[in-house]
Amino acid sequence: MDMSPMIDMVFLLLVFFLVNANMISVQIDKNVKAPTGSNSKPQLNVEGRIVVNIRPDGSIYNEDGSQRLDANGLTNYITERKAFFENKKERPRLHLRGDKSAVFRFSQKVMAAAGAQGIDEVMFAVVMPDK
Amino acid sequence: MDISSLIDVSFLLLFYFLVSSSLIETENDLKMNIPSSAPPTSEGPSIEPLYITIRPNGDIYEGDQLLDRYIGFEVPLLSSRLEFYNASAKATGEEPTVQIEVSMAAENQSFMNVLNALAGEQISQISVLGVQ
Repeated sequence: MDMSPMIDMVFLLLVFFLVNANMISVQIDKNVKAPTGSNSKPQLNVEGRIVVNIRPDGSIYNEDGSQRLDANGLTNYITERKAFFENKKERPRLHLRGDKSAVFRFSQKVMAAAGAQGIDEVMFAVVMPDK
Repeated sequence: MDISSLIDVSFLLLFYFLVSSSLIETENDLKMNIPSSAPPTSEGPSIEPLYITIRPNGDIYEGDQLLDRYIGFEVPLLSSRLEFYNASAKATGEEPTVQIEVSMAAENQSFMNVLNALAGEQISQISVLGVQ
């Protein structure tokens, strides 16, 4: 039996899903459930994203959710990431992953901290509604 | 040459990536500009901005008038109000400007509902004020 067409197909599918998996651009804190927004756009440009997570209880975490940030920690984190992206000649932007049930107070806090560092653009992470 | 083990491994990897890619929910962007602290240089818009208020329970008001209650993520009345405002702003050649007053105690989802409606109308002149 000639198996080569099947192997070709399997490899094609394998490469497709492999590439797809790598396209997930920013790391994700699994404790954050993003709100829903139907008019959102895909995350095409991943350059310069300073990712801040806000969990349902309002605690603020860094990109991969490994470190909790207090007010000072948040400022330091944003300064550090901003310098990192500016070194790479990328325009730093705030990527805010606020949990849908967290209150606005904490989003405001993060935006204010970013604004104080001269960051003028914020991307809110949202998911498309289920069809 | 025996290639069955190669096929086994390939299938394993295939299923791994297949399952992992469908499990992770992809996230999208809603963009907003953080207003700079510098005072505006122009004399300001001549069209009256639209004032939207988000109450602590997530209900959306225009002034004192209730537009949408906070049930899920549908905001039909706000959307139609924005559409009307956008059209009237465009008719006078002005940039539509929206001021949102968000209660600090409102949930993120209710704020996203408003941002989403604004994105749907491609209104980018937004200012956000958090109130206690």
